[in-house]
Amino acid sequence: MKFSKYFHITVLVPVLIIVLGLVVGIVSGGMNLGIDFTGGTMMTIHIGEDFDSHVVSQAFIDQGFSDQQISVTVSGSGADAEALVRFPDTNDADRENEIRANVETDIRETYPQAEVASSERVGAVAGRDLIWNAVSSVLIACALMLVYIWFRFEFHFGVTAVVALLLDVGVMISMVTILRLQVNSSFIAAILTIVGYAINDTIVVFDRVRENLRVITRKEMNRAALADLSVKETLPRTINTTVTTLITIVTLYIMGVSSIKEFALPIIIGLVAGNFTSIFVAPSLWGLWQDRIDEKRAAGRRAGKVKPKKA
Amino acid sequence: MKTRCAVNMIVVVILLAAFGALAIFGLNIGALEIKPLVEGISQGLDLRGGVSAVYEAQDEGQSDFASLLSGTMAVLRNRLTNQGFTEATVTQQGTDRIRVEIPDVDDPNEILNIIGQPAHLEFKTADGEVIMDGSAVVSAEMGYLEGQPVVHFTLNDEGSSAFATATAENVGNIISIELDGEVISAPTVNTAITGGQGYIEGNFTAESAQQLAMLIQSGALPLDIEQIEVRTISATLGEDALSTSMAAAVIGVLLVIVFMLVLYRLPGVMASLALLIYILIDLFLLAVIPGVQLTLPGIAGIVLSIGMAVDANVIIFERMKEEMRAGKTVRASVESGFKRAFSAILDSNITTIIAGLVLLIFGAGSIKGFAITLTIGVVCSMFTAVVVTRFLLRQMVGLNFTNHSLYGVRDAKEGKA
Repeated sequence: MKFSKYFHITVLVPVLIIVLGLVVGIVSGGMNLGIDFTGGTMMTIHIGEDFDSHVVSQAFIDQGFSDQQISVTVSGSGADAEALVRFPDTNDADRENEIRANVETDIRETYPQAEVASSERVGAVAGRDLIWNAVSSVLIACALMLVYIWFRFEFHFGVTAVVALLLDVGVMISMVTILRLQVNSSFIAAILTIVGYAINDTIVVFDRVRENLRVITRKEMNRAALADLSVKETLPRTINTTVTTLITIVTLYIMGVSSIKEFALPIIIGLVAGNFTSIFVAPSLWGLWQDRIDEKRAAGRRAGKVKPKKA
Repeated sequence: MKTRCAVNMIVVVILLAAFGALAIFGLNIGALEIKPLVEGISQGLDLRGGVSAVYEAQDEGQSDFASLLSGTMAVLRNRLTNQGFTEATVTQQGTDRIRVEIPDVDDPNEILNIIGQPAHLEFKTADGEVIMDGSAVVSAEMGYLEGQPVVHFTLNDEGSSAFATATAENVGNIISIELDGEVISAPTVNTAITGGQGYIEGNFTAESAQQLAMLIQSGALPLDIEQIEVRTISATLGEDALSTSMAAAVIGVLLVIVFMLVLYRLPGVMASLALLIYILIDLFLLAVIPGVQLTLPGIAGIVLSIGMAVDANVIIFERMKEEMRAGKTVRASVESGFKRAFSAILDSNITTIIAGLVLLIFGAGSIKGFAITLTIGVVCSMFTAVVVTRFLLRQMVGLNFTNHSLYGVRDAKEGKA
């Protein structure tokens, strides 16, 4: 299998997804940010029977919100029916409590079992901090990965692994943007999980490359071909390790409550992306890069500019 | 050799069954009571229900801000304990935030009012001169005067003498008692009060007198705080989340076991045993390590780490298959499979731990719970995948289970061996 030969095509897959994500993001005004980022309140009201969402929104309109300010999502049906209501930050904790109590009383007139099951209020300041927190923690984690692989392998391995990692993260963000999934603080946890985990498959391949480098000389095989061989030799484990992890996380996605789903789906996307780049992007990139360096050195030697160097 | 291996295997299986039963059902023999393991892990708010709130302290510029902040946290803790919320936690988040978590709460509004109330008490003369403030009050409690609820207070020495002087000078005048700038009581001084004790009359109900007494007692907050985040989760919602995620975890484990059995046969059986041992150790660690809280994302972390736990085994077993295909005996393949796969396993686990630690530092609330379970899970899985599985497989080899087909390697290639 000549993975490196088709590198210029396979690398386009994540790149195109990222471009598409950017386009969708620009057209639709960014990501679908949840209250953790934007500030505001998310209230889950357990209704306990099938209901008309207008009754719920009217209760909030009676509290002084406009129709555009509030969004009501229906979740479940029958005894499990719930209304998820999102409304903007009032910047006043007492007012918030008042709204909560009034709305509950109001809805109970129509649906006597109605009860506020959870309510989350986030101020706008907290949201802004979270974005900064998210970006810096992902960058720090990536930098640490680079340093670690640099230390354990070699600089070029570190760079290519982190490039693959950034593509994975880019794909995650793009897919979440394209699918209009709501983004809350758990998304940051999902990204960091992938940063820590998606690199594992790349390491397994690089570990084999490192091993093969000891026994296969440049004359026998150029570096791109050696990378291809290493990918091929480790293919079952690269795929199987991802499958076992996918099994558990997909089960969780199917069975879990909505906040777990919100967390599990980006991880699933990241796992698939990470697996793809570990097979099709990182090793080929490394191999092609090494060959380019070798060519330059050879050309330099021929021209007598550079002394022969043991690599 | 053979008997020892067989005995070892039987002991492992019996121990696993015994500890498994203990973890699931707990134990209750006379004085000895062991709770089921899952109940032993303290649960986060999103699972047991409760209120969490984040406050931002104002005036960050102040020179002794850090000590004022910890003072504020101490007062908050005090107020919560006085109210009987002994399980409530007050922690610092970042440089100027305070996170308050109160489990098992029915009426979030009331508690949040109590936490957030500044309660700055001042005693003033008629012409507005401040005699003393709430810090001079040693104790305050609700009592009755002529059938009306009042707040009795006792002053410290400094307060007593200031109060004695002020009351002596103001006989016949009014001394007002203000809470947060609002006059709550304005008694006329009849005689000088020297004993350092007094009471506050007001339009109190038994309840509001009790609450004021508590607020005075716990003192004023050294810093003004503003609520920037509050989350309330009902206990039923948490229970639902816990039961569905636990069911997902069990099904996930079963599917992983099936996958490993189909793919790796005998080593798959050993990996599955090791996986069960891993789950026991992981839950045990979560139960005994102080400060670990099981949150909803935390369960996701556990489930995810179960999927990751067998990764090391997959890497080892694939390596073993390779060695067998290359013509090595089963015994040699097992040994070199573990040896040669180790560097890849170590490197890949360390990167996950690095990410987990970054998350632990930057994350807050339930995300921290995820980072903790993930990190503990990865560390612990490395142990079971490498040490436990190797031990089990050695017993199998010792028992002469050396047919290649038991290891998922086709017989056609066995000819080389």
